[in-house]
Amino acid sequence: MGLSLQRRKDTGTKTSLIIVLIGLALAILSFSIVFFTARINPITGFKEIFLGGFGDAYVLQQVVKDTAPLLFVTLAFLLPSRAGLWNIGAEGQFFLGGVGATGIALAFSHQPSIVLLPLMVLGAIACAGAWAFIAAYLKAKININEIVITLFLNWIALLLVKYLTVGGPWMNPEGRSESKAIPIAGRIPIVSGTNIPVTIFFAIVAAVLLYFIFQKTRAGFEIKAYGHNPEAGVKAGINAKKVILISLTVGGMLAGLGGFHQSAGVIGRLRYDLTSGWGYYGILFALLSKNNPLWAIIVTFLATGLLVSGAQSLQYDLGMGSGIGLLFVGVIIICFVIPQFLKEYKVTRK
Amino acid sequence: MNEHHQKNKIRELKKGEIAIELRGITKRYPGGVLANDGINLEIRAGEIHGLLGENGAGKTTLMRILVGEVRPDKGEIYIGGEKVDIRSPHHARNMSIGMVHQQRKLIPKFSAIENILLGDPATSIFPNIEKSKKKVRELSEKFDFNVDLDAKLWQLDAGEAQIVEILKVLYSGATIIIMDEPTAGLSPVQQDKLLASLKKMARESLAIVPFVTHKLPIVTEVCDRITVLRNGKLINTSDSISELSKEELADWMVGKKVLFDLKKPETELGPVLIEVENLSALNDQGEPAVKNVSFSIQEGEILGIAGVAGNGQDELAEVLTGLRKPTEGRIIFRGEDITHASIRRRRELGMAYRSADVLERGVIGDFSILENFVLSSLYTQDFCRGMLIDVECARGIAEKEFTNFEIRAPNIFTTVKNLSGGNLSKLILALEFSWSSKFLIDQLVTQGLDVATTEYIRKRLFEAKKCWKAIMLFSKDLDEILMMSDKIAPIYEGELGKPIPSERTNKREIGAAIIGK
Amino acid sequence: MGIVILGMNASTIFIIAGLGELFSQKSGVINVGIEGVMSIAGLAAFIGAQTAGNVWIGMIVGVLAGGLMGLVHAFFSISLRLSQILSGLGIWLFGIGFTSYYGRTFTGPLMAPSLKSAFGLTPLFFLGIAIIFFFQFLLQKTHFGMKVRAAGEVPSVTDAWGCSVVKIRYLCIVVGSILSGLSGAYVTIIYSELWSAGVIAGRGWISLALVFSSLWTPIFLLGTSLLMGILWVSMFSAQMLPGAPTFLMQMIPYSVAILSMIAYSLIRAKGKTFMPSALGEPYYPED
Repeated sequence: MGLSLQRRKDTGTKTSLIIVLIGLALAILSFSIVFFTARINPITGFKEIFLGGFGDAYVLQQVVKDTAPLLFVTLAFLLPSRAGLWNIGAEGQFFLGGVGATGIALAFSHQPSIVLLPLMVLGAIACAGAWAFIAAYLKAKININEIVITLFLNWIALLLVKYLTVGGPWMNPEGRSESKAIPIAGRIPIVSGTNIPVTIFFAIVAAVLLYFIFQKTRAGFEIKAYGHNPEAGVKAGINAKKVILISLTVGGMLAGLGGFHQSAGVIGRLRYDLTSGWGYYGILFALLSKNNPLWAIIVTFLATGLLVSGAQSLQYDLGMGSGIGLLFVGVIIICFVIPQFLKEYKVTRK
Repeated sequence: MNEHHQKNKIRELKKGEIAIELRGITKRYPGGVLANDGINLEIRAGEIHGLLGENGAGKTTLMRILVGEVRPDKGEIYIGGEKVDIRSPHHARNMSIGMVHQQRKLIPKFSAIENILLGDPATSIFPNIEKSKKKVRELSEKFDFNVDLDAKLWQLDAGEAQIVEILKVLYSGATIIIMDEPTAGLSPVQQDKLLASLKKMARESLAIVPFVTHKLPIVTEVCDRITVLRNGKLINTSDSISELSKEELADWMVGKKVLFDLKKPETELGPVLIEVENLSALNDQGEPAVKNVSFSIQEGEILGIAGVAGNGQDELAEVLTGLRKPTEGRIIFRGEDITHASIRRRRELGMAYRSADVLERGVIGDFSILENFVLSSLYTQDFCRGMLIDVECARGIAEKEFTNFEIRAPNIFTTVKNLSGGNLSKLILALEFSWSSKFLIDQLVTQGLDVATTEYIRKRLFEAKKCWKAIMLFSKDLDEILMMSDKIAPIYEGELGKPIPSERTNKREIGAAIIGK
Repeated sequence: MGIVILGMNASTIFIIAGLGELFSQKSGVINVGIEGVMSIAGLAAFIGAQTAGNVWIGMIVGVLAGGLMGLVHAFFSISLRLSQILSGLGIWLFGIGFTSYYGRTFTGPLMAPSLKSAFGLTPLFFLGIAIIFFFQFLLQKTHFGMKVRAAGEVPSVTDAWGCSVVKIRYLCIVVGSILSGLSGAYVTIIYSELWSAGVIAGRGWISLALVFSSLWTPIFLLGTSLLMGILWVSMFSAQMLPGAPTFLMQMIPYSVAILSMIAYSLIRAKGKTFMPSALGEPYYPED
């Protein structure tokens, strides 16, 4: 072989830029190939993606609306990731958030908004947090592989939702595969003049709060330090169990808020398609944001526009099949993953 | 160039004939360091040829060249009279050159026999374990080695593990055996046995090249000839070992008087800071490692724990700092029973720890110098009151210590993993000194460092003593312990001897105690 | 008795995929993307079998697809020194996306003649048993197996004694993925004889969990796979009973998988380490 890898001392900004550009180039190339296989002119395809996300006020509104749950799941992966943990369970925690919110809503359906909504938020956080806590506890106590556990919990969560809604105790009496409706009092208020639930502000605030926590607080530093070098962290007095439990559980709670948004703010009830993979989109978005909560806001907004709205537009306007969004997510992850090696190595001729 | 041919040629050499010749070996590392400067060396068949030199003298590089891990810039190597080019360790092995490393290159979970057979080119696809074991046992008996071939490596101690590696090298047919610090980590009894075995091995027309830093008595006992390296150059090769005096050897090696002249300050001692009663603990294998240890240290006092590595020092330090749970006993620190307290609590009370494994536990390599200062002071109230971190305050302290300890790096935002070894050691000391600690546990004070850094670290430790910190040092360098400590206690197989004031004892006494006499 | 036969057929999925993952992990590399590999191989096999009207062609295509994905994972985690987890996750998500999009036109039953089975027991089961014993023998009794195990324990030492860790790991990953691909192909063109986006249904992940809980020992993997296989089909048959809570029952295999991981972690907490020591750790030969 003519090429070899040499360890790099420092990653300059020039290198970071090159990494981003290579990723982008690979993504554009891959998307173009996908368009070719669908017999669509790539330029048309890319144009459609952009227009579908940002072309007019209507789609823009959709994008902002969807940014809320997606930002939540992005943060749900991001926070534990700083502690060195892989939370693959945002998908399931999202569902549990919906379960908690809907459950409260159906149980206290006669309460006014001022009482019901906060209770629903608590319900969502509690259920999703508890779901994540299962994995967190097992990781802290017996160092279980959290990837596998959170993942299986996703499947179980989906089945739980199906159980509740499809012919189950919460089923809509009209017989469709969904839960009874959440009462009006339990619907999340929207920003006036739009159809965007106010949870978008919660999400942004959560991101900013996380950023602040990482920069300025001891707890945030503990998480970062432990994530980089658990042994050195423990020696310095950091409580490993505390870091693991808090980061994973709070991560779960954030995903749960996404579920709250989607069930109480968008669909108006619990359904088993509350999310169809958004938990996994969150993994991609967090990676793209370099684990920085502030970047996550922008990245999630842009990526939602392109990969969620844009992808839908490809389906409806250009007739591409469903699943195109997931395909793009998968493709981008690979394109993103590949150039990462340049962070540590440079290519030299042998 | 036929490797079999080489092997046979060497076997045909008679005792005293030149087996290996190095001519003009020069190696300069990227970064400018001239590790080997025109070294001419000849090693004869049947001899034990010791190679001496301080760390950085160039022995490691020369050894790695001979064994194929490093290529020389200039110079030639002749084996059995024929010029060779040793391209890789595999290649070296084919020419029957083998090396026994100081850091054992063995697999803990494998048994001894599996380790011996691993990667051996002569071993077939379906190894016949019994046959191989027999062959290994023959080798063992020949040289008085005694090790259980079916035992897993992690079950064996340092001496036995080394024997396994020696057997591995012998089994693959090596006739030139290079040994890196062969007596390191061995008890005196094991050392004697090893040296006796080495003499037997040399009689089989093997050439043995032990590389030693400064175990002079061992060298004079076993080597036929020795060569001294200093700063990359060959200083002298002596044929008549017995005529050499220790002082002459030491002079050759260091080139100047060894620094023994740092004076320990006389300090008035304060109240008892830490008291340990009947402390016991197990090691990772579940065996007792700390046995009924008791001692106390006053403010301003330095207690030196002398001992060969592997006698419970690590475990003792870990129990004191909270990284390991004791099975029995009490630790009272500043009036509080901290036997089962968290690591954080101990640090809050002022316990600092400089451990042996620097980059793993001492610092976070990806973090900057500043961030590492924050890490060591997370719970010590210096700039972390309550929930928030006072970044300005942290910067101030970091800058101050950065200058104080003369750490050679661009600034406090430099990533720590880019620091050189000496600066890293200084940084670690700085980190544990930068906060208002009251008690410092220090392992491996200055091993492996250059002279200037060593002196500096010792100076800082004395300064801390004057400020009424209590210090607990672990070292196997008896000269260092005697020089630095107020009281010395030997540790042997987990048991701590009674601490004696350093003026009332000497090297011979302590030396005897740490080997169990 | 019929349940047992069906269970054995189901267990074949876990046996073959699990062995593939086991072999890769023994050399020190974990592939969390096994579900993605199985999906892609399953789709490729389905398309191949459907187009050629022949199940054997399908299997060959599936196996090749599996090997290709293995090559990708090996390239990412060994040559590019990327995080093995990241590479695996990437492959998994790519697999989900790729197969849900490109597979949509193939959703439906397989239009090709089925593979003949012996008394309802698929021949791949016997293949599975054979390779279990083959790998048990290979890993424990051969010099090559020793090198593989060494590479998974202390790669630096293994390289020092002349066994190229890079070559060993490449081989183990690719062979492992070939087996995973075979398992994925088995699912789509023999076991279920249909394609749909979620056809693998987490059985790749379950195989991964079984590798842990069988302590990286092929013989044990046979046992755990059989148990899981029987569990899987029992659950499905029990769903047919009137009044059965179908969704709750479908949770059982995943819950059992979680329990098996807990069991493994508890064993490990007792101090017995069966995991290859270098598993998941990036290896830098230049150091």
